[in-house]
Amino acid sequence: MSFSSEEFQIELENYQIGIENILPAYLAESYTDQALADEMALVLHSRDWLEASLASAPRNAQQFLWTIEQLDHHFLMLKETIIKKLGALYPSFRQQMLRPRSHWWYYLDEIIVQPSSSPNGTSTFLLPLTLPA
Amino acid sequence: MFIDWDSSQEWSERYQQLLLNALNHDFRERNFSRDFYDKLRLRNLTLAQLRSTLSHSESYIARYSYDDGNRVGIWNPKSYLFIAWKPRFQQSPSRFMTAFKKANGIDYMQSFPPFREIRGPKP
Repeated sequence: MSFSSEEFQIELENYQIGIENILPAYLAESYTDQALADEMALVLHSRDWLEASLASAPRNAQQFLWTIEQLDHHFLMLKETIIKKLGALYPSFRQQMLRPRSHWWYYLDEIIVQPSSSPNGTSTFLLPLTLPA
Repeated sequence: MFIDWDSSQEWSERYQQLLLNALNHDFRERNFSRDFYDKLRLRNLTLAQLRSTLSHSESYIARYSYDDGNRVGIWNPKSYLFIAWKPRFQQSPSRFMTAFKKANGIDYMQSFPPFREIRGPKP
């Protein structure tokens, strides 16, 4: 995968604005606006793009790793509200085509939160593996 | 405008023109999602940029889909600008849902199948 720094900035900004501004605003509303589907899809796809860029050009993208991790944490904090607000629409994004489980952002509804054992510790988020029957 | 998305009918010039008319009409009438302007402001985009993307012959137009219905995406590979439009469905009127920049708008739309190219860029 080859990309320019402008393209990387575009996708990072899509993820950042989606997670920090647009999704929280939609999630706080008392009703579900249809445009929420468009914004959720953009966040999911931008995260896909960032993941692919980190894998293909780790040196270039490394400097943004901390920012992406912070945004991921913010995203995980929205987990319960996203699942509740989007209902069946949320899992439909991963049912449209194969999304690997390494792309945890498509599986928020399967992630288990393990609270920290110490009062000041942070929670752990686990996505169980699925094994063939 | 009635769009038979699932027919095997090719997107003829005439059919494309009907779609473009519908897009231009909704843009002229400002048939936008409720917080469309807020999103433009957050993303530093202007209506003039959107108008240019809609009218540019080098913009791609394709159909993609979410669980709640079909979308039409207009993406310009030079400006990276992407505009999402939702066609009329049952009681919901057609309207522009959002706009943003996208590194690869084709890849984005292909991620939400069924994907179908309606118009490729005309050099």
